[in-house]
Amino acid sequence: MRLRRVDGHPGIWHTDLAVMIEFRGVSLIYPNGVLALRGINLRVEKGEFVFIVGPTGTGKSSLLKLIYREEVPTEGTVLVDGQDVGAIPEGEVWRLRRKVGVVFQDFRLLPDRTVWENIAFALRVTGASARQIRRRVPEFLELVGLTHRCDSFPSQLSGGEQQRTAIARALVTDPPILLADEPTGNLDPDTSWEIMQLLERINLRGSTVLMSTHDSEMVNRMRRRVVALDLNGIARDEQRAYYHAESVQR
Amino acid sequence: MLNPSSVEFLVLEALANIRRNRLMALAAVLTAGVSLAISAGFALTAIAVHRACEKLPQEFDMAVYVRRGTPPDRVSKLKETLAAMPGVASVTFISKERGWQEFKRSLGQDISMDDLLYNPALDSFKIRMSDPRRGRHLQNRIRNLPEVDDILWRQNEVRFFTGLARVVGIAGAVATVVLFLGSAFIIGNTIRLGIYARRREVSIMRLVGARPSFIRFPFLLEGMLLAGAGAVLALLLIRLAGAYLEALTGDLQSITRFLDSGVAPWQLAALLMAAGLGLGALSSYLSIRRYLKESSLEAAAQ
Ligand SMILES: Nc1ncnc2c1ncn2[C@@H]1O[C@H](COP(=O)(O)OP(=O)(O)OP(=O)(O)O)[C@@H](O)[C@H]1O
Ligand SMILES: [Mg+2]
Repeated sequence: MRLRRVDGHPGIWHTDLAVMIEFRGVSLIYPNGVLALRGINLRVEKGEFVFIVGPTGTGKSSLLKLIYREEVPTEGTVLVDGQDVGAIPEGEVWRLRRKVGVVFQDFRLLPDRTVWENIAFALRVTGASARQIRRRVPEFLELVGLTHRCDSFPSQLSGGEQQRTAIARALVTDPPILLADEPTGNLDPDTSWEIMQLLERINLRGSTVLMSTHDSEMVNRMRRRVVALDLNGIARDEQRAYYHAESVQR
Repeated sequence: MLNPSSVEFLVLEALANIRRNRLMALAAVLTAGVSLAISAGFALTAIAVHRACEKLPQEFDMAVYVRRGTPPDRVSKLKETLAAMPGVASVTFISKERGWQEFKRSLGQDISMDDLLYNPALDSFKIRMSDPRRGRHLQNRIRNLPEVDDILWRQNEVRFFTGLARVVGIAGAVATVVLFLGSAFIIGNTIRLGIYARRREVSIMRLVGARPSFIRFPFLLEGMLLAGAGAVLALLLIRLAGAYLEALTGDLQSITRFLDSGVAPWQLAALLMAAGLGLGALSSYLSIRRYLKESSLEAAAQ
């Protein structure tokens, strides 16, 4: 049995070095001919926290989409939990989606349902029983700190509260992976920082978290693994890193 | 696999869809109802005509009158000749005395076309045909026999029914195809509007890993409810049309007595319901399948 200290968290050890996500020579060309990703090789282990950074249009969102099978690689293989994602038949994609929670910059909440109902929705449509729903929704409301706002509609919430709701919805079905595509892109710095801390807490609970962002200050403050993309692919992949390579020298 | 709260959720979703989209739902029910009624009307007529020709051959018995003064041995020879002809199922001899008796007896009752077939002045043979629709061939062959005086049978009715069977069959098939396609189009579009109104929900369902069958179910249910309501409407329309037809043709017995399809009301109801549910399920299935293929998860973003 191998023991490994999880980067940046002296108190936490991983006994199992399972690879959660792996990209092997992945390229993605959209039907319109745009080359969004080229030659991506990447391994993310179970329980890791990874920032995906890079200038706009370098394929951060595309990289995440390959993980939850919104896109299929043009070349190469994407493995999630050991499974070749591109080879999953259309009718079986739902199994993958239950392993991967996703949150977006624009929250994507259902406007005519309350916070409670938005979170419960994910359980209802995955066939949970009424009892499971009554037990799990309060648990995740508490995790994201929204117990007191559970009867509010999205339009009555601040951006940060909406994103917390979206995070609870993504996690309530217990996926081992959380993908966050610029989750703080619409939020002010203080709120962004609160969401960042929430995602860190979720990572500490054991979720593997991949987060794309443009927020250099936050990345620099967190000092976690950073995968930087440019138009040629992965420009940099470092542990305990900064947003810009040159920041390290500072 | 489905627990009670899932079933409740799915049924409520389907009902909410219909409520949200009342006008289109009404249009779908009306088109499905009218289409099913017209198709069923054709089918019932076709069945009735078929039954008249196949199941009631006695209605089309042929009376062959023997020339006056034909010797008895020639008459019995004639019977053998007739019985040996193709298309003849059976031959019965009716003497002129018995013909007269039967005619007199029938005078006391309602006079129907049957009674006028017998000329009581002549001996005759009653021929039961195996297929009345081929009676003209038989008639032509019998007419050439020297002992035969005259042949009487309902050739006009047979011609009418054969023609009717052909027209009803072709028109019914064409109408059924066109109307079902039309209904499927309207129901499918109603469902499409419903899917579009719920594109956010659908894309969140896909994102969090709902099974495709679970995503489809409320829309399938919606389609089946709409077309099922159409089937009920169709049943009502057919009963109304039947009552109207009866009132209209009550005294034209010679035609209406043949127009009994022999289909029991419950059979008709079951068939209409099955056709309606099948139509609804198929059109909404195709609609949602196409949507899931064409759309992306981004629909939740709008
Ligand atoms: N569905 C699509 N069809 C065609 N081209 C696309 C599609 N999605 C993205 N692209 C293109 O692929 C490239 C990478 O896009 P992507 O959204 O992954 O970049 P990004 O790094 O997330 O950018 P941003 O920082 O602006 O969010 C861009 O050139 C973009 O225009
Ligand atoms: Mg992006």
